[in-house]
Amino acid sequence: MRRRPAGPPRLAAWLLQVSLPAGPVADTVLGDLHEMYERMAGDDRVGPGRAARWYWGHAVRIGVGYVGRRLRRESVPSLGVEGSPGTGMGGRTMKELSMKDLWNDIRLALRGLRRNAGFTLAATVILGLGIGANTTVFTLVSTLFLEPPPLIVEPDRLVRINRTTDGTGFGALAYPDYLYYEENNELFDGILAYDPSGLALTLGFGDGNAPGRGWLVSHNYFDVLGVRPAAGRWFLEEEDRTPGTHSVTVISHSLWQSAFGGSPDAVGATVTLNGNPFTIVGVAPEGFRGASPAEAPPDLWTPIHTQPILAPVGGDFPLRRVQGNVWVWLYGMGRLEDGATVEAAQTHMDGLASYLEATFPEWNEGWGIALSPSYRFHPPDGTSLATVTRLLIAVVGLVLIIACANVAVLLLARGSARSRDVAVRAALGAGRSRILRELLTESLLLALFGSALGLAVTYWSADAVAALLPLGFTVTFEPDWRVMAFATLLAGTTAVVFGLVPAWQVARVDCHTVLKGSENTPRSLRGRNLLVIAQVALALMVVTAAGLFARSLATARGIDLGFETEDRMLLSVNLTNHGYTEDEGRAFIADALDRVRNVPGVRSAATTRLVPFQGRWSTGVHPPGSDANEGAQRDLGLNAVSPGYFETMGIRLLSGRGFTSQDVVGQGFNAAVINRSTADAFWPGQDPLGRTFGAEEDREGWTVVGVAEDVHLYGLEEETPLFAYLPVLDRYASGVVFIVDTGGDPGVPGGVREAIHGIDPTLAFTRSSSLTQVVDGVLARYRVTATTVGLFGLLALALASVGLYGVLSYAVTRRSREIGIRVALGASGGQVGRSVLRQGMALAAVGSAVGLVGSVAGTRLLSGFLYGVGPRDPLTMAAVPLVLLAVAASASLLPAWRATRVHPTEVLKSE
Amino acid sequence: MNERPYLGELEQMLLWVIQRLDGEAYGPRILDELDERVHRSVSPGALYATLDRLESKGMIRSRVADPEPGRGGRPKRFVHVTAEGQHALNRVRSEWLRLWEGVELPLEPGR
Repeated sequence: MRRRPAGPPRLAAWLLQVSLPAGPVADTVLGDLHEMYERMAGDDRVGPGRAARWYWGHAVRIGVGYVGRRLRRESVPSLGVEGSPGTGMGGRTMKELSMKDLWNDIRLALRGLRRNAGFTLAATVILGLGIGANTTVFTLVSTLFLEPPPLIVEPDRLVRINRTTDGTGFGALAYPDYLYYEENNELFDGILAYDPSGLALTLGFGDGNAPGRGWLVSHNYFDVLGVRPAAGRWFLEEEDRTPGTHSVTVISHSLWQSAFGGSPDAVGATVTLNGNPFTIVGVAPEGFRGASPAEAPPDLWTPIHTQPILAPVGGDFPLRRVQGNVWVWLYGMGRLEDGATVEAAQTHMDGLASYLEATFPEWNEGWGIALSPSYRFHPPDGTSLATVTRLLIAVVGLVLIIACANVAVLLLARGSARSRDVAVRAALGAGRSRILRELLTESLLLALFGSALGLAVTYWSADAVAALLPLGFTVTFEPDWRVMAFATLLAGTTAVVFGLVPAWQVARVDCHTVLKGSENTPRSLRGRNLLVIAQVALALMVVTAAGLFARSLATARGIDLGFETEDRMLLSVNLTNHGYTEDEGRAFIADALDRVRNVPGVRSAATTRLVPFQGRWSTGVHPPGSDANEGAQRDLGLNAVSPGYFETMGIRLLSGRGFTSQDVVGQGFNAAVINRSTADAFWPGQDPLGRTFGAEEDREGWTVVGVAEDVHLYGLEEETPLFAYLPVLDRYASGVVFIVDTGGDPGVPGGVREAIHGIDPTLAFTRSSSLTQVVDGVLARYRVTATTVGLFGLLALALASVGLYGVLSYAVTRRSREIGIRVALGASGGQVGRSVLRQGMALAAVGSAVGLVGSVAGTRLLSGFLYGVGPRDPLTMAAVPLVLLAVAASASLLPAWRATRVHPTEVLKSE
Repeated sequence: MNERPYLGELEQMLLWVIQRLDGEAYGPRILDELDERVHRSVSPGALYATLDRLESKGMIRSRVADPEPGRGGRPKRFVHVTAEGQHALNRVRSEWLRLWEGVELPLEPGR
């Protein structure tokens, strides 16, 4: 028993029907196909499946054929009516289009463009800016996300391997865990580990010291990345198995050049790192910069097991497992075996992770392993970078649409000016497709010019835009072949977008009407108006976004941080890395502060363990009065600071005192300065001075000696934490940051460095910056969006006003006859000008209204980028349309003025 | 100015088939006939394009019949050759015959 075929595919039949000319022809064609389909479907050798495919194929071909013939204006008979003879290019098909035709089109288009140099220039500049904005952003995308890292073999097989609690988080690995994964995995050719924070080092080459940066890496680091040494060799496995026994290093190519002049003798030579002698075993190849564009390449690499020498944190503690303590500090990256998938590797690693979790629950409970194929960036960094990039792409996309609409308006205006020309040619037998093709060729050429200009813009601006991004690293942005390809693609797309509608409109010109001289194309005017409205609307959206970002930046800038940032230099050292014991460290801090304070120009100086917005240190305390062993602990932020800290930072003391050199171990009590929030929380309405708090079983409490004003120490968005300052001479911390009020004296920073090196010339400064830079870094994300989007907003505004201006001046030219008559009938210049102005403002108002609706709908997407401002901030929403209307008014003024100058006799005479 | 409109090969064949089918010529039937007689498999798209062209040249005329079952309830478009078409067909035929006069080719073996 055979199933009766259910008839031909309905969608195909419908598609065919709509592409056929209305009338009985369509019915007969559909009937024929239906009949043939039924016959095939009923045939056992064919069957319904193949019949359906056959039907689809022929339905599409017939449909396309009819549409094509209608476009070429070939007669398609509706039955019973005599078909009209074909015109122009007649039955020529695309196949017959020769290169000669193409060349002819190009020559014609070039000639046309040259004849209208002003128009060509304007369109090129507009498109160049629009395309340039896009290629610039694309250059960033290409450099950050598309370009493979140099020298690394098959980077696509690299995956990042880190710890996670929820499968999405991405935390660093502990060394013993890394070792377990590296030794027991089966799907990786190798897993490497490195310490991303890097080491500040003082490099010694016999005759002198130089600052440098080093990375601790696993011995297989270079092998897993697939890089070959420029000289010497990479690390051996035994050089990375025992703590502090193998002092070997691989130096970068640039260090090889600068310190050894590229001599092969460098291999085997000795370099001192923070005073410890290391043997150079190899040199990295030129241009090697690791797998991530976000990580600045160091000057040298040493095995992880040199950590007790270069970064001692209580001996070789990070390399060992210590009860109750896990030091997670390494980023992992693995090279998948050929053919292994990330999914398979993830499953496999999950198994290893659950073994660790079951075997060592005290360290691994709740922790799994996460693989990420984005080898370029540590996932959270990559995500935030990608978010900013996406925002930029959206904004420049809008700018490009505005530019296209703009050029479309220009083309429309030009199109109606040449409709006579087109009409003559059509009357002489040029086919519609022929004319269409010519016009599109012209658009394509314009777009190519625009792309070329855009690339030039990118070439000059990419570095500047990159500097605006919160990259925290420097990359040279050079437009590469990807950018070229992208620009070409953009050129093609934009040409079609801005060229098709005007071309269609021109090609539809009715020769009779045009040649008779009665020009009335209300439709083309309407099209232009719509395009202007669209431009204004889009510009309003971009400017609204820019306004919101500007407001958010202003809000963030205007925040009272609670401390001074001007002229505060920061200089960091890590004393443990240089072999200082706690006592030596205390003595060093006291000595160094004395010397720094005596540097000429220094107003005040202090040390701190933490710099605002960077790093946290906290402990749990029970609020005073509650039982020490019951109730919830509250998180208390801590910092260890030296005498003079509050003065140097400009933090106001509300009561009591800051620290003195008397606040040291053994004075009988542990002094603390608390912030206002802590005073309010622990002793509301009472004087906290002299009270103690924070005593726990294993810890003595602190005695309040002073209360300081609340300051912003963490993120801008965070509420003020409970916070206590402890004297550094009491609560020693080996990471010391000097804060110096330089009073703006440019000689001070050098003097401070000298003063400190006067105590110990080998000390490496882990950081040298200023509080202004730190705060700038915090504001960076707001500043970046505000400046880039602001820049593109200005561009959008300028383009939209040019568009409006163009349409109005064109309208004035077109209406000059009407205006002349009105003036002749007694209308005053003012009335005429006002009517033009009214037209412009009407367009701008409609555009603004549409844009406002779009903004209200769209700005919600921006909320993650804003600070202290809602995405529908009423002030911005009210101000931006006003700005836009003001710009529109000024763009309308010139055309309006020209309208007042229309002289009736001249206009009427010229007709 | 063109008194003798050019007739392409497919146009000639179609005119011939339509004439031969004598009032019964419509889409699938024409395609079948072409297939049977000269082993030419022509796609429906090409057929319609050529029919439309012939019609616009005045060589054929169409008639839409009543809707029929088995075709999704749709009508057939029957075509017939006009006097002008017959004239053109005759002319082509006599031109061919004149061209062949006195020309002899060795017969191809097989078909």
